[in-house]
Amino acid sequence: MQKNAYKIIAVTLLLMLLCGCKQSRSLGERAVVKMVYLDESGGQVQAGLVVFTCAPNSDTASVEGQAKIYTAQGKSIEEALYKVEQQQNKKPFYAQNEILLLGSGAARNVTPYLSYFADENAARPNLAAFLTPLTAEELSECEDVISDVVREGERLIGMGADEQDRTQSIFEINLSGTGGLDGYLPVFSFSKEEKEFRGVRQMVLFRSGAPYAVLEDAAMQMFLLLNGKARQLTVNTQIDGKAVSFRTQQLQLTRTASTAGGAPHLEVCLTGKLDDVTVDGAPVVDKEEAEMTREINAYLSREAEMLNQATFARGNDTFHYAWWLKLYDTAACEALLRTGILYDIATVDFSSELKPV
Amino acid sequence: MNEHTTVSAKQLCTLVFLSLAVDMAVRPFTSGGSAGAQIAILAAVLNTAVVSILLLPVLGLLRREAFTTLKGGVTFGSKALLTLSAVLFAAGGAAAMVRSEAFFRYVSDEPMPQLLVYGLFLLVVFYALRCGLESIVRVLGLAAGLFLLSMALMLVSNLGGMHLSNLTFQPFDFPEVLRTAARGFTLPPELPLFCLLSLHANREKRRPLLKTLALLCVFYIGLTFCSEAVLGMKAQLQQQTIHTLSRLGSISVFRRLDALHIAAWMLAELCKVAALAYGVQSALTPLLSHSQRGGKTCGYAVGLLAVLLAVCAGAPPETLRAVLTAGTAVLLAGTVVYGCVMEGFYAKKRV
Repeated sequence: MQKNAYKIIAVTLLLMLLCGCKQSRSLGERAVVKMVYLDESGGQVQAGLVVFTCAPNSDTASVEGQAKIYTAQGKSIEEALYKVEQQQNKKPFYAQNEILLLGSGAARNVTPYLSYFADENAARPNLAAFLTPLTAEELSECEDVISDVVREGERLIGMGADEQDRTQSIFEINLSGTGGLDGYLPVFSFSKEEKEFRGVRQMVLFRSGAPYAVLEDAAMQMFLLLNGKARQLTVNTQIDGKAVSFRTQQLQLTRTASTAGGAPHLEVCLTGKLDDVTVDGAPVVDKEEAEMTREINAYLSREAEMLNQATFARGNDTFHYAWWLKLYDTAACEALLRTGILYDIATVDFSSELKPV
Repeated sequence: MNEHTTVSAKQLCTLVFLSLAVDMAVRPFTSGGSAGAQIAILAAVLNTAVVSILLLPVLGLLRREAFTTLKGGVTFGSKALLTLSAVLFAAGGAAAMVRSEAFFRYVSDEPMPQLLVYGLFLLVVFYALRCGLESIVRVLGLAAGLFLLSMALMLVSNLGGMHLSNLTFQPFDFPEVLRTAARGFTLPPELPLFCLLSLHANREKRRPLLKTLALLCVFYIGLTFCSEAVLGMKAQLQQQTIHTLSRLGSISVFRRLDALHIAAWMLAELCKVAALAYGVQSALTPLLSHSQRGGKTCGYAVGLLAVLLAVCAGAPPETLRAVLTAGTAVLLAGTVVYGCVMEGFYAKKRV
């Protein structure tokens, strides 16, 4: 009898405690944040929230409700975000947010903005950070199309059908440089006239939190490939005044470390197949194929060298060359890192050895 | 106590494995600037070896007649050891509850009041004690299965994010390994708990505790490797590294797997606290008069747990860990001394 009483008490209390009714908040009282925008203008931080609201007491199926855009400004990121949160009578729910947009003002020094969201519990670690040319006003004018923009943006995250991942999560961003971000950020392209998301067509390179170079087209694809974020290239470019286009298959990057002249040296070799090569719109014929392949390989080598100049030689080791060198000779690389002479363009050689299909 | 117990040494090892493995998933909030995987793995291997060596004398005593007298609580020595065990297990359970509550608050968007969580824990523990050791270890087996499934799921969901280039290399530095090993050295109360509960388990020739410790070491190595392969140097700076991994991993359209993981980990924590509370009860029972044994010991065990919870709630995690390690070391040393003395006594008696 006593045993049964214990069980009944325990089960009753368990049910009472587990229901969590006391502090529950229905989905209808939530504003599901799907995009955060931050910019800086005239010493003020501009914040924008794209939220999806749903009917009171609704279930999760109706989260895809009406999209709203709220904007506000403040002296700091915290203040701007607090003010923008206060513009709605619902409590923002950030756990579904996957997109962070930084305006052109914030792009001058992105470190404080990224550091804020890189804090462990401030956002989901897979929050994708983008730069955008949109101002806060322009963003707030896009309310009628923003749900499509968000959907397109979310679709972009991760490896796409073209086997390229143009996005970067907040946890992947290297903020440990002397001035913060050493790396890159993709640009969230947006047509202001047609109010339409145009994907990622540019990458901006950063050193110590400040932008210093913009990559697009073939250079951007090559950058993603060297960064391990692309598995194939689809290039339309000009080589020696000719309009050349080609696709690649079975790409593989081989890195071989060695010692050259007493210092560690890395050979990076790109192998794979060239496909659909056209010159001025016409497919290359047998005789021209070998010559064109040589030219394309030379072109890719030049692109890679340009990227190495823009990154590794400036101490922005976004391609992890130092890791491969350390794998070969940890002590020697540590010594070179201490003296600051590891990041030399002569340390890395790139060669492209693509062959026709 | 049930003399015809169906609890086996393997089940007790599952208890030790789950109790210590869940500590690796739900980390204390003291990290930030911990060692990289290369150093941490070597330090873990070293610590496992040291703990195994320290345990050898106690494990050697387990099958001796002298050790079995401990559960009688007749002599002054056994009473002192049982009292220390009860306090130590209660402190271990309290520390686990404090950590679980802090973790639960950290992961919840709308956290439950602290007292409510503690109350729920104590209530479940009380119910578990009423059910007995067999029930606890059976549930613990299920919880261990769920926990391992959760870990496997987390591993699979993070495979795509693992990059070897995230692993950090540094020249081999043995003093640094030693320093890291010393900083992370822990003697958890689950080790003497295993020894105490072994008295109530089926007699088996093989004591797979050392294998369990080796498995735990492998588990730790796997987690450390995965964390660094996914998060790179940021793995060392996270307060809850494994939780961050669980938030990152996704399978197909399932992007919020962390909610599933949290449920499995909290269940594991609950089982761990229940097991430690059973240790408190086992240690207290011989110390009580016959009239107070039976159902009342559950209440006394939960009461002691609640008292130590009140004491431990405000203590820094590092202090708690140090106190528990020191307490466990004293208890293990005391057990060895007690065993040797009693062994000498029995030897004289036989002569």
